[in-house]
Amino acid sequence: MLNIFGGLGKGTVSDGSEIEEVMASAVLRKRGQGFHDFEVGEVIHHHWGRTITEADAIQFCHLTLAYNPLYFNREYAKAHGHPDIVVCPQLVFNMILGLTVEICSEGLGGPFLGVYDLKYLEPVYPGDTLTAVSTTEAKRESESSEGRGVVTWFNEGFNQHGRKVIEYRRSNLAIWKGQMGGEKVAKAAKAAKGDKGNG
Amino acid sequence: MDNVARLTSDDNYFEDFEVGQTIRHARGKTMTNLENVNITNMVMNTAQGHFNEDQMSKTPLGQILCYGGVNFSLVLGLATQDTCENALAELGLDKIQLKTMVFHGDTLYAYSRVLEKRESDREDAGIVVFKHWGVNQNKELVAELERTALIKKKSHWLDR
Repeated sequence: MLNIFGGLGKGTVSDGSEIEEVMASAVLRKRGQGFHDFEVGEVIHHHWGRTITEADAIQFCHLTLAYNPLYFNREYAKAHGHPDIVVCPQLVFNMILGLTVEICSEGLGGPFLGVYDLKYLEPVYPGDTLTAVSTTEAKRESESSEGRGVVTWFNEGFNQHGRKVIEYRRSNLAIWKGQMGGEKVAKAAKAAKGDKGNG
Repeated sequence: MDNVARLTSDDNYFEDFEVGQTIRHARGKTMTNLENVNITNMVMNTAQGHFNEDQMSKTPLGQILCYGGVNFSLVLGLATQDTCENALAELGLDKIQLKTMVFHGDTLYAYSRVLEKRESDREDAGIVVFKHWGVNQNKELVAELERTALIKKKSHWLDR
């Protein structure tokens, strides 16, 4: 008889030792890459792509309080010459950045530092499908702290017609010795947590 | 649709902004799972520091770190009604700098200043460049950035 509670009964599917063996022998399938894996000038075509739905557009603009009716009133958007509501541009930015994270920043171990020269080139509508491309523009090792550096990419987002809808530069801190946080940061985080009374 | 001008404020058209004008926005918003984890996952940002509490509890930060894209999007959102409610388009952003880490439970507030105003290539709208700042509940600067928007002119849009 199938025992869905595993080790709780007799004749079980798993008595608990199987998962121990699995955890001990499993090989981590790593995601993300490090500072030294990037080459200036390389072009990276990112995974997945994403069709933006009306639900995405409405939820994002309302959670961020982006109150321009173009982003949530279809008749208003049509009265301004659009075929549908306009996707809040910050969702377009975040969607393109999201697609770049696994390759570009997930493995760097440091935070996102800044974005420059961002241009919204064409409106995006619900049902449009976006894809992301990055070009590694610069890599710089920190002179003051060992094991730290900054990587900068030029990111571009395209719609299903191959037209560019967004471009920008972004930089991320890379940490390959030690861990994000460090003494100063941990202390600040602890103090901030204490201030909120939820630590 | 008739009377589109009734749907938005009448004091935030192109003519209403003056260079140097500085605005404190009325509302703040507390960052929670709903903003950070939801939007991070919605946009497929795969960095688990933004959604894995267990992993982050074992780092010096001790807790989930909010994704910077959500932080500055919320700052822009908090500033949108007063600055871009009558925008025809947001044209771009620049000099986005993330200054202080944000954690769940932190509350963000926004301030804006008009940096520049100029004519556009269309008669019915002009370009305004704003600087926006986001601060947390301890008055620490969280993010600063510039936004350029194409904003309707009263002369052409108030009666429509």
